[in-house]
Amino acid sequence: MAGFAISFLISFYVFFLNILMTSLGMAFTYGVTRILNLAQGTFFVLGGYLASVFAWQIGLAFGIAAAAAASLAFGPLFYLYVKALGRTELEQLFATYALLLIGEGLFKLVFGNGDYTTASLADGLGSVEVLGQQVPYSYLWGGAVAAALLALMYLLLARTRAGLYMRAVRDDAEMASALGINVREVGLSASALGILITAASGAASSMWQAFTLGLSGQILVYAFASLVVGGIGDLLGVVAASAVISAVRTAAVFLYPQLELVAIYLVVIAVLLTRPSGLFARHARLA
Amino acid sequence: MSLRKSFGGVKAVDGVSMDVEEGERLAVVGPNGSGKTTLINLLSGLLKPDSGDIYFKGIRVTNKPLHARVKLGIARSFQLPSLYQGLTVRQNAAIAVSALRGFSLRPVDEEDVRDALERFGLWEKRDLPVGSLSEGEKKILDIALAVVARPKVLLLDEPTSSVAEENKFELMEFVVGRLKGVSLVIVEHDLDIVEAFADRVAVMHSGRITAVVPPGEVRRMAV
Amino acid sequence: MRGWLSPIAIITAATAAYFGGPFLRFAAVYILGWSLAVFGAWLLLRYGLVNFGIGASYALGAYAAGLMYRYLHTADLAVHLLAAVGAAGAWGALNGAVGIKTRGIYYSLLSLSLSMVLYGVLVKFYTVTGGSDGLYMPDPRLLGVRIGTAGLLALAALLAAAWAALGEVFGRSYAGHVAAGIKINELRTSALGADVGRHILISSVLASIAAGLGGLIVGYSTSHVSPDFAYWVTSGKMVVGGLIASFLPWTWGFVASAALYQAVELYSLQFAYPELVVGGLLLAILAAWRLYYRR
Repeated sequence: MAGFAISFLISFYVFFLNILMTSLGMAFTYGVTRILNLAQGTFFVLGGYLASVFAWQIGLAFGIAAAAAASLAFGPLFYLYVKALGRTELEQLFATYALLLIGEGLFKLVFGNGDYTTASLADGLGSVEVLGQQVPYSYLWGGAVAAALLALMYLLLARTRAGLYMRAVRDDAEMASALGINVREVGLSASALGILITAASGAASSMWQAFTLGLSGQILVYAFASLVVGGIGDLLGVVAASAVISAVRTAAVFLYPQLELVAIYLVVIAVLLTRPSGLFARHARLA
Repeated sequence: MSLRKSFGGVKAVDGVSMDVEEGERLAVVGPNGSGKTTLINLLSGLLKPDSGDIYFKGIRVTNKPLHARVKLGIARSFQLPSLYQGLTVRQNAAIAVSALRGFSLRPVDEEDVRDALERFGLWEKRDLPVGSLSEGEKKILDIALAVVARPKVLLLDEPTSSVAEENKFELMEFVVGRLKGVSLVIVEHDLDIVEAFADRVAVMHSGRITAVVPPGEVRRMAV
Repeated sequence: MRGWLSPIAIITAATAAYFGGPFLRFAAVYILGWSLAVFGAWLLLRYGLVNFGIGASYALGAYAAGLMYRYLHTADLAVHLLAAVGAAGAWGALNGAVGIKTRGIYYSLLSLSLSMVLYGVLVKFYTVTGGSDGLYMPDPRLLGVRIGTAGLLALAALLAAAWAALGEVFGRSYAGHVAAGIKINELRTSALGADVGRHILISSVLASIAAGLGGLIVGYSTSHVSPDFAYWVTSGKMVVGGLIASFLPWTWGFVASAALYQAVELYSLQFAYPELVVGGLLLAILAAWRLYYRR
């Protein structure tokens, strides 16, 4: 029974980490720039691929850090790409969809059809025994990375001038602009940060996740679900929504595996029907 | 009948009772935050009151949505002109004409569009994008769109705000002159305008109507 | 009047395809069928609604006929059409009724979730639906006679022409103007007297029926329907088709866009990296549109 509980918790925890870190980055980018990025999962997968390649050259920790660092450049590029091509929300959707496909094509070109992972390196970290179950240290390290990123984001948003600007733009871009905030610069840095978080979490999750073609789209749907269930408001909403979705998904996997996918969507439908703008949405403004 | 509406702990409208007579022009004045716009939002159906009732010609409309009230004869303008950006004046009017028709696949009646614009002297500007209109013209078009529904009561939310001082009077003269017989509820800051155009003035403070006075006495009441 | 050339153009193109050999005939049926789903996505985009679950309607249209054949052993076209319209229409009403509560990305995810629940049901209840293998789709019969490839092409062309005509009427109509109003400023449109929920509900039903008929045609053309019809990626492609159509100035834009998308996808398959080709071409389309728009 204890063994079952532990394996349930581990399964919950790992999926929670994956979904949290993708949706957090997505929520961050969307909140500030209002760009709904269909290629968000692509950056997660990019982080995983890069970490898997680097880790074999320079070691696990450096590999993951290098992958995250390399992804920093992609955020501003992404922002400029979308802003150059898409003026309206629909055009932006189109632009990011094209990016999703291009990313998938490039992954196939550069990385081929194989599975990429750092799992065998991560095994070397050993594991700790909890109630008779082996829990790999890599999971704990992954959690530490997630907590660190979360704390970083919180401090940035709540304690710095840049964070103040980002919150101002998120709440009312027009007003922020009228107050002299450079919305473009804020958008650039928010995209950079959102994509850094996503890619870094992809890199960290390479310790237990195999990266392969087609994963971008799957990750995207989970992140999308967490974003919407949480409501685009604050970090806490996304954290809670990721936990809810992971719990439901894990329960479905353990109890009734065929319903794994459907269960998540039923949660989303139920939330949207009762709270049309998410569980933790801020007050909607009129007009 | 006394209307109440709170946001969080703030009582925006706190027990308002009032009547508007047919063809009357009632001005609502008061300091910022006194609940004037919330009152308009309650009357037009944009917000639902926490308690109290709204009657229109004996029909209880408290729970009727925005669009149903328009069809009964209650229309509104917006403080910030709420036009369809990126479209022309003509297209804006065509949407207003269409909004009253339900889901109809019949072609838009251009005569109705023309009438709507001609009444407010905007037909000449029909092919201009609304963004290129002057502030005053935007205000007039906003009201013209609301008037397409031929309302019995028109709620005007700050009709002269953002219009240059020297043009305010002229604008009101123009608008009111084209709304003969329509009851107007006018939220307004400018007391000169209120004195010139209102039949009665309701003074609001902290969500309550503290007095209803003839326009001549409003300066004494409102500080 | 020029707009009324759209249905004629579609019929003419289909006739030309008929004389172009078996492959062109098949491609024309497939594209015309798929274009109806694009029409559905396009119609909702007129309201600013991005429906990532339009594939559910597409699947239901085909499954309605497939299930009719499997359980009632009928291949009658009229019965199939009725079943497809009924199933897709009911789904559209459901999607519209629940969708009214949400907007923007919330609407997109709600429609996606609804379609994925259907997808899950189609895969899961395999004893009824054939599971992930899907169902066989018979050659339809009209008054007991197989309609054959020519008949199927004619049916697809007629349906596409009919929806093009509806699109033309809609664009000039009161309803079409309300759609534009809702897309730009929903609250204002409601304050002008439009019952926004009702407009969206009716259009959801129409969009769903169009997509359902499209699924029926595509199912006939490949003799097969599978749960992939309802998968969200399928819907995503239709939304992209609808977006391209909304960039195009013609009423038959949805057929042009469907033809373009399908041609690009087919063409891309000869490369080692087809996604790169499709993505790159979508990018080129968007860039061209942006350049054109700036002028």
